[in-house]
Amino acid sequence: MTATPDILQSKTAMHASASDHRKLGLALSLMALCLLAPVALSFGMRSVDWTQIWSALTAYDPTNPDHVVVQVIRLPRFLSAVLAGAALASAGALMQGMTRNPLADPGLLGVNAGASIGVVICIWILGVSDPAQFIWIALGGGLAASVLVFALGSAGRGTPAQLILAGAAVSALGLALTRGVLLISQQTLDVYRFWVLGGFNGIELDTLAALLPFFAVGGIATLFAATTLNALSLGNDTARNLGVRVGLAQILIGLAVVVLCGATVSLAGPITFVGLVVPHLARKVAGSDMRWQVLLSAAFGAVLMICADLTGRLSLFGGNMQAGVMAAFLGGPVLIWIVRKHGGGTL
Amino acid sequence: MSRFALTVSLFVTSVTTTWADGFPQHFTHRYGTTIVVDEPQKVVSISYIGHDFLLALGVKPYALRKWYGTDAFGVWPWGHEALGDATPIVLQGQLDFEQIAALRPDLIVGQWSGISEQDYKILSRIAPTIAPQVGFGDYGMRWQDMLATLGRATDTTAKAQAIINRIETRFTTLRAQHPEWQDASAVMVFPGQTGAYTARDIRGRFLEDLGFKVPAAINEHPMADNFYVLIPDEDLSAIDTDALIWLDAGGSIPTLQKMPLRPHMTAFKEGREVYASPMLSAALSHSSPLSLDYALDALIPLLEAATDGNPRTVVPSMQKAGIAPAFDG
Repeated sequence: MTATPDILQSKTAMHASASDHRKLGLALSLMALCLLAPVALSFGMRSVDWTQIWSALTAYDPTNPDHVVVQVIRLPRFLSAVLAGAALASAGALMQGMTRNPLADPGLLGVNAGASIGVVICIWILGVSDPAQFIWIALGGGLAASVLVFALGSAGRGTPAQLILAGAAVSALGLALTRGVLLISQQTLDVYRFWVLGGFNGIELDTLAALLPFFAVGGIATLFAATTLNALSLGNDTARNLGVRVGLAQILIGLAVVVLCGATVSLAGPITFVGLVVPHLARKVAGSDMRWQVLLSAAFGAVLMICADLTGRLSLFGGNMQAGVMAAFLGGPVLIWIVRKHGGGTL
Repeated sequence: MSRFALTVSLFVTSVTTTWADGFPQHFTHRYGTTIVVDEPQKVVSISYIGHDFLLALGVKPYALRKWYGTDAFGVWPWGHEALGDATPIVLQGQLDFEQIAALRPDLIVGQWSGISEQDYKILSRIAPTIAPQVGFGDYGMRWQDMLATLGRATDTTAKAQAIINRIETRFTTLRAQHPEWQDASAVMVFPGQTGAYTARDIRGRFLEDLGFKVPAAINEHPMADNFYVLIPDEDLSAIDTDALIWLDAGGSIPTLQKMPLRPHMTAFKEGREVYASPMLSAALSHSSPLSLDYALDALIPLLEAATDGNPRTVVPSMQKAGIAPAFDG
């Protein structure tokens, strides 16, 4: 993870220790993930001992219920939480960087609202109640809504503020339509109310595998987008002088956010807050280099999501509180602490 | 509000439930006591299944509450004959008190409606309102008690008693014919966010009326203050019973096919599962004087196939749904 020398190095060079902080932050969160993995694989309603967990991963026996629990229930759940947390948090960092708005959330591009409409219509009209069947319609709805947001937001001058307003408008419209259907159909509400909280119940390895290309494309686009954002942060004119095509760059950033957010919402439902709060925490450690912000956001986001999923499964919270709810529960105090200590920070 | 009906909410400690005919009739329920002073002409049913009970007594509700399903009036096939060409007003979703007031009912019945005390207070100012019985929870009243209460309220006690006697006799006969069911464990489960109904629910009670026992792991579950208990995906032992009935409110077959631990249950391996189609599931979930006969007709042969002690006996509904266990050879 070595940062190549560029124009921003001089900006951060005056903070001699900044680079060490980043590496330490990254190392600590990766270490936390390594420690949380065995916890996530061993924690559950069924007690499975360590030798069984190990052999479930190395010598899978489909006739052994312990192996099935580890391999079919807990492993996809853990991997999904890592991917969703990393995707949402890095998409949030990109959104906040692109719009220079500390309240920007990846959901602002209309992805969650579009996915929600898709899911509600799917339950209401097609009578589908199995969340595994929602993924493509959620992804389709999310992508369609974000295309609409970009079309509305890029008309005229196409400023980031305009994009946010377009996103807010499309989201509000989507929410109104969704609620309209929910008021008419009790049965839709019964299925939707679990989906909308966001969580990792019953995710299958197949679903995860089908969505993996989207996460991969989103991840690669994010790395390019972060590099471009570094240049854009110097102002559009300077960026142009550095050879950045500003319009194209903004599309790339938008694409990265939409793909990551769309893949996550179809995997786990609309989880909010992670994309909003984690980039703030990452920015404290990363400084102004977007590449580090994105990287650390991804690492912190994955850790937060795993912790949220694990605490949600404690009997204290009824044994199956949705991770989306727990993420806000755990992340809220962190955000308050950041605001109290650092006064919100600058973008 | 009707002239000849009067609601009084008193905390009367003992009102004997008698089978006396005529009016006035007193009804003690969890939110107080209601007095119906004359035979109601416009009965509004806000119970999700109450219309079935009224129709069984020959009373056509003026308005009814649609629960689910595709029927325009929310009446399932077992109620069509009794409904005839009546066109009741359909209430759906949340209770709209203004709408109910505009109907100017003589009597509101909501024994399986989940109304709160606050709802009751509003409703009882519109018309005499019969709320759920004390001690049975929102959705736990026995069908016999619901029918007997409505019989008194609509001056059809003899008819109610005759229906109760007939259906109870049918259960008694079935119990006598199936000694293998007596004290065997059984449970009705809905897949998805998997949940099992306790013996305090009408579906659990249906099984116990056949002689089965809902397992203690479900009835005495620490979270069993509700009428159902959630079953974790990782541990299905609580529902691994002598007879396991999967209910389907629609679209549950793919969920059943994918439940990771279902093939590891003894009930699966020994072919003791029964799949209840959406129609049968609705009949069980209504457990009404009209739907019980339909439910028994459809379920008994399936239960017999599942509990015959031979794992290879095909349970027809399981095979039709494509979720029956496969045996080699």
